[in-house]
Amino acid sequence: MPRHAQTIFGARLRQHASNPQAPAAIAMPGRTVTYAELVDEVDACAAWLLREGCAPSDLVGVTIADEVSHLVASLALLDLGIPQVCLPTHDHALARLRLAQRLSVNRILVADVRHGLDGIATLALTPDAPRVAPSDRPPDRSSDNPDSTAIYFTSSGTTGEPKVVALSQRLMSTRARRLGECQSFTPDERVLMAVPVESYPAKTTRLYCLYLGVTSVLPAGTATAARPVLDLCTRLNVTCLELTVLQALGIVQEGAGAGQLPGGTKTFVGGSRVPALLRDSLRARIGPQVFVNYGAQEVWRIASTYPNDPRPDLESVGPPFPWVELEIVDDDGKALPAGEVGEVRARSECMIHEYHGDPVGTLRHFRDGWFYPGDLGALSPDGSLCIHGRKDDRMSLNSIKIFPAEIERALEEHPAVRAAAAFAKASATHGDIPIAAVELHASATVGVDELMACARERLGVRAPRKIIVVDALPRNAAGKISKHELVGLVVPDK
Amino acid sequence: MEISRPRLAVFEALQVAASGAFNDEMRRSFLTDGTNLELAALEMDSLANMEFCISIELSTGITLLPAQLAEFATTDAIERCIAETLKEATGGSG
Repeated sequence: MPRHAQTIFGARLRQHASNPQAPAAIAMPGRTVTYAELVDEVDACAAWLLREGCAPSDLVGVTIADEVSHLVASLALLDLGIPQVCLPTHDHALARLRLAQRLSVNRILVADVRHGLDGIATLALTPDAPRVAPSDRPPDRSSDNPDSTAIYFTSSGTTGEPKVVALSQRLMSTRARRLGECQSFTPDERVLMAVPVESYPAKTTRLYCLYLGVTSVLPAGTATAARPVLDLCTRLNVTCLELTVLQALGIVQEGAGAGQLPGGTKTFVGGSRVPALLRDSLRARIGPQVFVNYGAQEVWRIASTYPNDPRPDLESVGPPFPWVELEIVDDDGKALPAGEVGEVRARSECMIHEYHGDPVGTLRHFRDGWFYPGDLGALSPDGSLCIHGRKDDRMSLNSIKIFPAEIERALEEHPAVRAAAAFAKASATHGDIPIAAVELHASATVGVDELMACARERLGVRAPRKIIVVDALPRNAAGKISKHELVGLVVPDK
Repeated sequence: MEISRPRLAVFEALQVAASGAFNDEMRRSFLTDGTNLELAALEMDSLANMEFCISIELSTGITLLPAQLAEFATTDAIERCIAETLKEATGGSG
């Protein structure tokens, strides 16, 4: 048995490649890659990396935007047991350099030599790079320790320095198996997460699909908007679609003109709060097979709603998966009964146990074997989880506890409101003054007074003290509302 | 009649905090006749005082403590306080 077949991902890929019944590994507009073809590409890349002197003691930064090239390079590094981290092309060079220096990256694999970084050896995987036949592969010193770090990822949506998550091949394979279970994969599954491969969830989802031997459908270029996504689903017979909230909003807003999904396509939405109205609109638009996910990079998938949810009107994220333990606890870590709001904590076989090089962050989020995502929530009597917002976002107005999500839900019940975001204006006297920004439906007209009255009627003293109507709420690439940008809108009247 | 910023801020705060006692007639005369209202007549409890101060803070940026309200007998007194604070904040240029 060749030495390079011993890593978990390398062995799995070859297993699929030798299976004549295996579906395509990759499908994208104008191109299909079988598992056998993919393994050939990975082997050639691995041989080239070895000839360039790469070894498991390296940490290789991957700066490649092209979907297939990125996956081939990533799989080759996995095959060789060489740790890697994505330094995305869309990040500024200084941000890439900062992360590379923080992790002591000593080689950077690029498809465009302009993406090289000062002081770090560049490996140019350009079309004119000499192709090395696998038979010419030099002897390697591959690491086949399944528990050593295979991939580093940075967390998103945080302030300050991003946290670094390290995954081993063993953990990745566990997550891959659980992905297949929680999304009920069949051997013919065709999975699309229409986010570029350089983003953490897209890259891992593609790798997990390849580990499982199903087809990973890749978006062409930056075709991640609603219409191209639905077109892609139809053209390439996608059976499992993962959407960001922003994409889900786009599909709903563009209406039937944006196309349809193939019948029976399972659609998963997550990454940030999925409002009740969006869930209903999405079901009306693309069918009942809509799932809402809740999770965190550190512990991975935690809970999901199901299409046959008996109470789909509630903004729950569903019950935890069978392999996840979930509790709601008070400030002393004591478990709270159903219905009481407290801090969410979870643990599972899919979790990491620390942040790389960040003992303070580790101490804050990992305690007694549990991961604390920093969310507040409550469990329903039937075990479904309802998220009330970030613990850091919980407001205290003269000791009145207010959750942003309750304000957002109350305002979104108004027929004119498409989306709402609640946040705090810091006050030296009162603590946190709750404010809300709302985005209205295209044809809606409603006065702020009416919205204020609506909120007061539903929330009483927990209502926002000011409501601002905006053309569009600021969102990041994943559709998460950037609340810190909204705080700047709260200025005294002129 | 042009309504000054401090008077408008007090008007909006009263609408929020003293919605029951601050009836239509009082609202009209406050805005159009420049009526000076006795705070005692507005029947504001501690919660209403808090709402009043929050409204003033949001509309003017001026921090007013609920306990401070007891020092003001009338709405004109509050307006004067707001006007002076705003004047100081803009370096006395008004």
